[in-house]
Amino acid sequence: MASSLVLTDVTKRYGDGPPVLDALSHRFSPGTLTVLVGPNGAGKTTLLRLLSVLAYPTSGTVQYGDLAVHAHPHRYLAHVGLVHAGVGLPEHLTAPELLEWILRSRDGWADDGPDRIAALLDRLQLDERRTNRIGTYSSGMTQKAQIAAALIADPDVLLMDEPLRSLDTATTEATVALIEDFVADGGLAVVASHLTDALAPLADDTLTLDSMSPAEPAA
Amino acid sequence: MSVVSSDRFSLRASAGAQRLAYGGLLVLLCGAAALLGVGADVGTRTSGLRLWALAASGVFALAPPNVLLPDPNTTLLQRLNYPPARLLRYQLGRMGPLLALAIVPAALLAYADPAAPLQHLGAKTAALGQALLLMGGAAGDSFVHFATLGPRSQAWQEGQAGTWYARAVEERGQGVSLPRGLVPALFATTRCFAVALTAILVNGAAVQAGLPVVAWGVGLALVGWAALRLRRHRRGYDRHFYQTTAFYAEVMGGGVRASEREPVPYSALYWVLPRWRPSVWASLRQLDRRLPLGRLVALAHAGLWLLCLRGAPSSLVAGYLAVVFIAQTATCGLLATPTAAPPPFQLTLQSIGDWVGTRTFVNLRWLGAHAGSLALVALFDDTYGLAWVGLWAGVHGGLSLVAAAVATGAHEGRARRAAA
Repeated sequence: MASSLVLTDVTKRYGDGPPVLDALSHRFSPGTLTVLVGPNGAGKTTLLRLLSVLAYPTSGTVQYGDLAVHAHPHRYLAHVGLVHAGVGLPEHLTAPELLEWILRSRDGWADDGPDRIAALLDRLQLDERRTNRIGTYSSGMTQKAQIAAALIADPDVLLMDEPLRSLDTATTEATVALIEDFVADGGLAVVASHLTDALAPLADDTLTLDSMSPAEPAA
Repeated sequence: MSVVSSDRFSLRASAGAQRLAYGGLLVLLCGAAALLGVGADVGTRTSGLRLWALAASGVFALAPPNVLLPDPNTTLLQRLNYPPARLLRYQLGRMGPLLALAIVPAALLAYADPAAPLQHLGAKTAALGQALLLMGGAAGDSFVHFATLGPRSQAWQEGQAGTWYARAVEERGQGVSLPRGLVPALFATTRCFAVALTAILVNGAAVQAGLPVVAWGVGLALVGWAALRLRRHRRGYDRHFYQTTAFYAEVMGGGVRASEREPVPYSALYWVLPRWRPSVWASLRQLDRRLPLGRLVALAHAGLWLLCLRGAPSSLVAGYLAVVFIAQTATCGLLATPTAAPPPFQLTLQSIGDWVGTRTFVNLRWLGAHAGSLALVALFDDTYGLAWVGLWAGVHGGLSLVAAAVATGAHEGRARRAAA
């Protein structure tokens, strides 16, 4: 069961320029899906980078339960699954190998590991080419591999930046179904997406980021 | 499904061009070390090893933020969620190639003695051992200093610290043209080199005075101090790793503003062939934001003048110049990475031959500065003449082309072969 993710007066600026996020306070509760909305450059990626410990706040705190996430990233990331805007997957592994590596690295490997991996990749409709190297995948296949990598270790928190990008209709529906099941099982999901039609029916909360914020850097 | 051992699959340690660069540099450094060692007596070898340790310490004082940060594997490491101690081992491992560049030539400098290979083994080993301790200590000290610099650097970058510096820049126009968050790194480089230099000087004085305990002790103390600090940071290393990586990713990779320095104007590249001028201009703008090469070149030539002033043998000066020119031309490899040069974009823009030409001219940017510096040496030192200046200008030209060809072949060439 997930704990709450609480932002308290979080400000993030790059250099000494104006803040991209300014004294943001918000509570993400377990068993909910929050969709981040806002125009390009509003701070959605910055917020996700802060929540995934790829960026550190200028001021303010982010707590997961009683854990300060930026002071204890390893303990926090043990509960987290991530889909980044940029891909960043090792090109010379296959998707099943990558998932096995993640499971073993997180001490989650068991005898049913191969079956769990196969079932997840089946749900995401990553076909028989999953045994090819990730470097040969199309953008859609790579995105499926990223989503699988986020979900394979049964996280409590799911942070996703544009997870539905490059996905065909069937896989979009499958991914949305996976997020729905994840939230129904008590997981905490925060998703930034321009494809709001697919996610809006599921969203328990929408966090709108200000369009007046200065441009945020590339992810 | 096959059983996967995570140890079989190494994280992306370095791209092909980087591996080639390290390999080439190692071969050249070993060659230079072997040449310098031929016919040298034990005393000369000992002095040479101390000078080598000094040069290596300078590199270690500069290297960590350029070699280690930002880490290219961060998102994968998050997915694997390495524990703190394993993150520390992983980052230390990335210093490995740099350490090899220092240690292997040092060993050759100590032992490469064709005339009397087994003579004075004890003295040679002692000299090498002390040099290795000094280099290892300098590397460890620099690593732990830079790896934990993230919070301070971020505070400077966001105006929460270093206000005295900001006032000095604003009121008196003083200060270096670096993003403010990199000023702590500049101080760190100076401090790390000063510590290493002090240790090396103490070692030299102790050897001269016949105090072996002090000679060995200073290197041991440096290594021990670095090890102690690493041990202290080991448990919470995940915090240092992610915060320092996050800072360098913002400043080096994704900062909002391109740079605080005035970028090179297109008109300044009148000396480049028109065919390649646009891509040379774009390449130089990228390279200047990635590395303060001008300062490094200036520092290198200051070292050259120091060597000549001290009357160093011409073979040592030649070896030093070879290393400087190879290092400078190898920096074009920074332009042959997926982030600086996305292969599809590169191959659409111009041919592989044109990219070789482009990077050759990127390297030749420093030919004037190199030749000018060597001409100054020739003016004041009767040992060297204009022919010597011309020779090294030719060497630089050749190295410029070779480095450009190697980097382009390893990057665009590989992408072209993969697409075929």
